[in-house]
Parts: sequence; C-alpha cells; structure tokens
Amino acid sequence: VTRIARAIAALVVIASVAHAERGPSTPPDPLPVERFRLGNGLVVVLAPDASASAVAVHLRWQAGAASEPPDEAGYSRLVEKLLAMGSVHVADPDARIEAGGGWSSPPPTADYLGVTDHVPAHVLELVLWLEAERMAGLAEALTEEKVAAARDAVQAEWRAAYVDEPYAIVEREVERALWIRELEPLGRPVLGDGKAVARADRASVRRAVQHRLVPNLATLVIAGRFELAATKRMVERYFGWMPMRHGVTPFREHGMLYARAVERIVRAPLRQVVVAYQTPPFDLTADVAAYLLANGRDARLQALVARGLATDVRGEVRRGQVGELRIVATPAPGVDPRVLATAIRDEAGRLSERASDDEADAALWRAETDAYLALENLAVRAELFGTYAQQSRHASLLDAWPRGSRPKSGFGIKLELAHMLSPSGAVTVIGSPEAR
Amino acid sequence: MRLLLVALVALVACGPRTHVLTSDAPVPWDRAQVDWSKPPALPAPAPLAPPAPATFTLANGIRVVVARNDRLPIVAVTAVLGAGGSRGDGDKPGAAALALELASARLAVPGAQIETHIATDVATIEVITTSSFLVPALRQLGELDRAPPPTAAELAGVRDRQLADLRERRTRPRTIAAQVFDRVVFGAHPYGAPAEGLPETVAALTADDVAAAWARTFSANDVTLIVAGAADVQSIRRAADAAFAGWLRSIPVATPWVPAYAPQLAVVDVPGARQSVVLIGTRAAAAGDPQQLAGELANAIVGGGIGARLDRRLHDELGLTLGASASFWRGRWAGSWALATTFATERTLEGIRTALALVEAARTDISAAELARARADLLAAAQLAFETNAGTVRALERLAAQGLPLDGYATYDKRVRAITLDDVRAAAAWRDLSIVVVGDWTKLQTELSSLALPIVHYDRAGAVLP
Repeated sequence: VTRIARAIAALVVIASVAHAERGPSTPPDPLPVERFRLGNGLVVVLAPDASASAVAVHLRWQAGAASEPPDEAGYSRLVEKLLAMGSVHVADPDARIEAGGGWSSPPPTADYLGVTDHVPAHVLELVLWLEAERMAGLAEALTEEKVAAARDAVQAEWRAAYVDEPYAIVEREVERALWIRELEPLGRPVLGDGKAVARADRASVRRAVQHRLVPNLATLVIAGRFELAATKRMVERYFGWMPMRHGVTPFREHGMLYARAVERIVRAPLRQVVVAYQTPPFDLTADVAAYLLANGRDARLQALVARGLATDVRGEVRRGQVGELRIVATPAPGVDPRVLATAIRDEAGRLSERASDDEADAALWRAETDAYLALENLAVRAELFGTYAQQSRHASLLDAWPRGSRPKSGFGIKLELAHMLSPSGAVTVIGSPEAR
Repeated sequence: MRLLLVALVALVACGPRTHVLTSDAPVPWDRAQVDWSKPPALPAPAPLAPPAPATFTLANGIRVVVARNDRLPIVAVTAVLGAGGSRGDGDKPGAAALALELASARLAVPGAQIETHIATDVATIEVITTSSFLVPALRQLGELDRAPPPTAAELAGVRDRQLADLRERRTRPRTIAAQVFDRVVFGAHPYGAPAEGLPETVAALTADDVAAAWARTFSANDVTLIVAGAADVQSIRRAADAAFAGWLRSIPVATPWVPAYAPQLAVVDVPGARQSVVLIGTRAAAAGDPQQLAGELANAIVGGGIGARLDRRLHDELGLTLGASASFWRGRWAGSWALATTFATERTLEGIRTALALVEAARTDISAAELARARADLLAAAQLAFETNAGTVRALERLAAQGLPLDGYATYDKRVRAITLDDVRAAAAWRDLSIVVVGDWTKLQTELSSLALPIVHYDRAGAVLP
C-alpha cells in the first residue's frame, strides 16, 4: 500500500510540474455550469450567476416541428398555445408569473418546444412549481374549448403567414431548400401545413401533449441568481417524481450535410432576396461572415446599396442543431433580383480571398463582443445553454463559443469562410409579387 | 469469461429499473408529495441591489463612475458630454448632432458596438467592447479633443444620412405628434425643438459650424465617464487621466428661460388618414423634483403599458386602440408627461374623452393594491436595468444627464417604498392638458371642436400654421 501511495504521489507531482510548465491554462469559466440528469431522464443545467438579481428558467422538450409525424404537422405550435391556457391545478400560469414581477415566453422552433420564464430571484420556486405542474398536467386539463381556441389561433397564424399576407413564404422556401436529405425535418415550418392542425381534436391533441411533455425528452436550464444546493433539491422535488413516458422520436442531426446550390423564385408580397448557408451552430465564423458581408460599418455588401442595386442588406445568424447564415436584401426598384442574388453569392464566395487578415480579425472581435452581449441576457443565456446541452455533453458553452474561436487568427477564419460560403452550398430564394 | 458475462447480466438485471409509463397512463400526482392545490409560499423579495459603483474625479474635474462586474469579459463605457447637448447649438440647430456622428465614425475600437445619442441637455457616446479593448476605447474618446476637424467629405457623408433620417421622420405620424407636443409644451425653449435639428437647418450648416460644435463638445470638462463590466478601477483611472488631460474648458451653462405654457388642441392635418395619433399631456417638473417618484408610481398605475388603466380600458375593454401608454420626460430645466395612443378616425373623440376621464379619475381612486403592484413593478424594472452592463451604464447615465446624484439608486428602494397613497394621488393630478392630434382634420373638426380648447394648426415640421 505504501509503495502504491508513493507511486500515486509521484504521479501527482509529475502531473503538477507538467501543468506548471505549460503555464496557466484556460481561465476559470465565469459562467460555471453544472449538468446532471434526473432518474426520469430530464436533463438539468444549472448556471448560477451571483452577479444577477433575477433568474431565467428555460424548459424545453426535444419535440419541435422537426420531430412531428406528418399527421401532426403544426402540433408543436398548438401545444405551445395550450401551455398558456392552464393545467389541472393552475388556470393562469402566465398571470402568476407576471404577478411575481416576471414574464414568460414560448420560443417554439423546428428543434424544440419550450418555454422561458424570467423572474426576480425570489420567485424561482413558484416558477418551478408552475412549470412542473403544467408539464405533468397539461394533457389532463385539455377541454374541447381549449383545443378549439388553440386550433383557431394556429390556423389564423398559418393563414396570415402563408395566405392573407404571405410574408412567411420566403422563409418557408429557404428552410425547405436549405435542409435536405437526412436534415429535411429541420426545414419543417413550425406552423405546420394548414391541414393537420385543422383536423386536430381533443383526443389527438391530448395524445400529442402526452407524447411531448415527457421528462425523458426535456431539458431544464436555470440561469441567474439562485442557491445551488437548494435549487437542486427543488428541481428533484418538483420534477423528479414524474415517470418516464413513451414520447415522440426526437429528431437528432447527424452532422452537417451541406445543401445543394439552388435558386428559387416564389410569389411573395414583398421583393426580397435571401441567400442562406448551413453553418456550425456554435462557432463565430458565421457571425464573422455576417459582419464582413452585411452588418459592419464598412461591410462589403453595403456597396450594393451604394451602387443602387439594393435598398438594404443585413446578415442573420441562427443557432439550432445546425446553424444557419442568411444574407437578406431588398432589391432596389427596377433591379432584377436575380442580379442582386448573383452579386451577393459572388461576394460571399470570394470573401475569403478579398477580406484582409486585419478585416477578418476585426470582424472576429466584433463577433466575440456580440456573443458575450447575448450571454449577458439571462433569458437568452438560458436558451443558448439549452441548445448547447441538446447537442454537446461538454459543460461549458463559453469554452466552445465564443472562447473557442479566440485562438483563431484572421487567416484561420478565412479558411473556414472559404469552406462555409462555398457557392455549391448557397441556397437562394427570391420573393417577388410578380412571380408566378 | 463466461462467468464474467453471467455476472454482468445478473448485475444489470438486479439494478434499479426505469419505470416507463405508456403515454396515456394517468398522472400519479400523489407520488410527488407536493401540494398542487396551492403554490409555494414565496420569500420576501430582496431589496433592490443596484451596483455600488466606485466614483472618482480626474484632476480636470471629469467625473468617473465604475460599476465593476467580472461576470463576462466585456465592458460598456459611456461618455456623458455636458457641452454636447443641442442647447449649445444656438442659431445652428443640428450642429452638435452632426459633430457627434462624425466623432462616432472616427472611433475604431476593435470589436466595439458604438452608439450615440443627442438630447437637449447632453450628448452621449456609448462603446461596448471586450475588456481587452477598454483602454483603447478610453484613449480614442479622450483623443477627440486633439482630432483634426471634420473634412468636407466626412461632413457630406454624415449629413446626407442625417438628412435622410430627418426627412423620413416627417412620414411617421407618431414622431410628428411627439415633435408637435414638445413645441406645444415648451414653446421656443430648446426642449421644444428636435435635438437633431430640422432638414432645413441641417442642410444649411457649414463645416465651420460643425467644427465649432465639435470643439465645444470635445474639450469641455463637463463630462461624466461611466464604465460597467469587467474593468479594473486603477487601470481606468490611469487611462482616463492620460486620455482626457486636455479636456480643460469650462463652458458656463446658462439657465434657459422656460416660456409660459397654456393648453391647446394642436392639430396636424393628414388628409385621408384612417387613424388619429393622439398625445394628451402637460408640462411637468424638472428632474430632481421631490414628487418625481410619486409621479412615476402614478404613471405606472395609469399608463405603464399592458395591464395599466389606460391600456386595460382603451384596449381590453373598449377595443378603441391597439395599445396606450404614458410616460414622464424629465430635463434639467423642465419636464413633461404625456399619454400616447392611436384611434380609428371615427372613434377619435370617444377615445380622447375616455382617456381624459381616466386621467381625471386617477386623482381620487387609485387603490392601495394598485400602489403595491406599481411599487413592485418599478423596483423589478430597476433591477432588470442592471442585468447587463449596457443597462447599468444607461441607468447611471440618466442620473448624470439629469444632473442628479450618481448614488441615487442606493436609496431608490427605500424611497420607492416610502411613497404613500396620498403622495401618488397628488402626483396623479395632471392639469392643463393639451391634446395633439395627427389625423384627417376634415373628418375630425366638428367633433373635436367640442373639447373646448383653443385649436392651433401645425405643419409636419412642428411649425405653427397661420
């Protein structure tokens, strides 16, 4: 035993010396995260922040539009509407959160169905009680009236988006074109197809709720000011008793499968050009591209506005199981949108050649600032932690994004830009009132 | 090997079983041992915990406020420029705003998000960046006093953008209503005119005009630097000392005369408009008024957005509008209070009368329960403001801009809780209300004439029409 103890001690010393020689490693994570799983499968991510005064609770189920069977297209949105209509013991969950000085918002996406609450720190236990009650009891509390109200609301949204003033047509086409083959489910619209929801009745909706609001599909993120040990006990108390249930089969991405280059023209009320690319979700390269191309003070595509080809150009980055970069532009009056689309793709495709290392460096710094700004907001932080937890077992989001990008040089970023913005992966959708 | 496999299988078989229910099995509520019939009792809310900033003064009198927060490696820094407000423009309206925009375009702090804002009393430049670039940010801000004056090309580019923005404002009924309201309440006082100037005045500015505004803005020692985030006080002191050493001018601030105010019905005719934008309001006390907090609470009850009286009655109950809210604006020399909303043309008079009745009723019937809710909302909003570095600098910036003590938030919680129901009812006594209507006058004239206010017509730029 003594020999073994000596050997272990020697190994510890060697390891310490080796560590010291390497110098200080990554600085401690300023937003430490503890992640664990309850016995019923619910993933819990606790991100305490002593400098905050509020707390954000984000509860999501990996049962968004991408996980919907065809006969339930749009049901995620339907369930989201029902979340606000009360459960077995609580008729007015959102009103109670507002009365506590907070707010609640459901952010449904193709990836997940969920809810985010932001409250003063002392209201945390009430929120956990409310959310647990709602998760367990929503299906039991469904009535024909509630289902009808939710169905009407979703149908009205669907009509507004795709029929009356079809502003969302372009969005739908971009998603359909960008996500192909195994990633096709990511392109399913959250509002569904306008048919499945129209047929929804209490029995089918009840079944849908029972298949979605199950702990084994859920991730609970708590970010902000709270006491760690007491919160763990509360989470176990309010959520740990729920049994696992059979649920929908969640869609999980299987790596990036780059889209094929395509250009589509759709009839839409406004003239618009969208050029989209798949990107890694937690990597600053997409943000750098958005900044260099469209959002910076001297962004390259702003020249299209100066040349009279476009009236505005902006870049958007979206983060889900896979990320997405979009360049959105409005053609100037009289300009053929296809000419504008070609100019955008051309500039994007050559960005890695044309941008200097200094420009790329500057854009990287700006993207890093924006990433930290997003993380300052507790609700956004909780949602980002939720998205990250869904796809990585690594605890620290900061180590991956934005810190993970810091060692990259402008030169390194440009190599990645060349790959990401390849013309062979550019999806273009043109919206035009004149299109047939 | 076989034995090992058998042992493994046995271990797995004896381990804890995961019980998976079918999806339609009833919820075993009893298993939770939680009382679902009543929510858990909440602890008392913690008192407002604003940052406790370190404050110090540079040798030249510039104040520096540092609210340190090491949560994330970013900082927000704001320079509140006392000599940069539009009140210094005199007969060159818009010069200070152009100088500010030009200065912002000169800053090249890596990774920075830069925003400017001009008001009558002060101008501000806000820089948000990663902590490693805080010192360069301070250096560049300080060096503005030594920067060469703007070139004609720089001026042309910035002025074109400013003119486009100012012209576009004349197409927005809400903005038109707000500008006319300021003119009604403050008359010829600088508060009565847009801080950015008007298209006509901006177009007439020369490079010398803007250079003069630049020299005034970026050399005076009437500056408050506010920093929030992962920032070390000593390094900020060193950087600010060096960067702002040349900011020595003391520019006396004259107390502008605030003309008399009389209520009126101000009308901007928009033929064919299907909706009327309506502002109802009056002059209020300047920043620092002893009744300021009572006024904020009264406003929260009457017009603090969704759930407040105005929105509940006008939107929820009567369907007269898509939303209604009210707010105070406080300057160093005077203030105003106004409610803003939009009515369909044919329901404009009904909406105005309903709103007036709600304002009148607030003098007497605000309840203790409403006050308690308003207090909680006000404190929660204040706490929320400190969630981000930008929120923190903006909260402190408001105090600096209004000339109030920078430690005002330290006692905020106590002061809010000390306000009584009588205080709030007294503060809710908004009198001498003016009404601004931007809408189709030919359809409104007959009805609105019954409001018994002198009618004054304005154009979209806020000028009185004959």
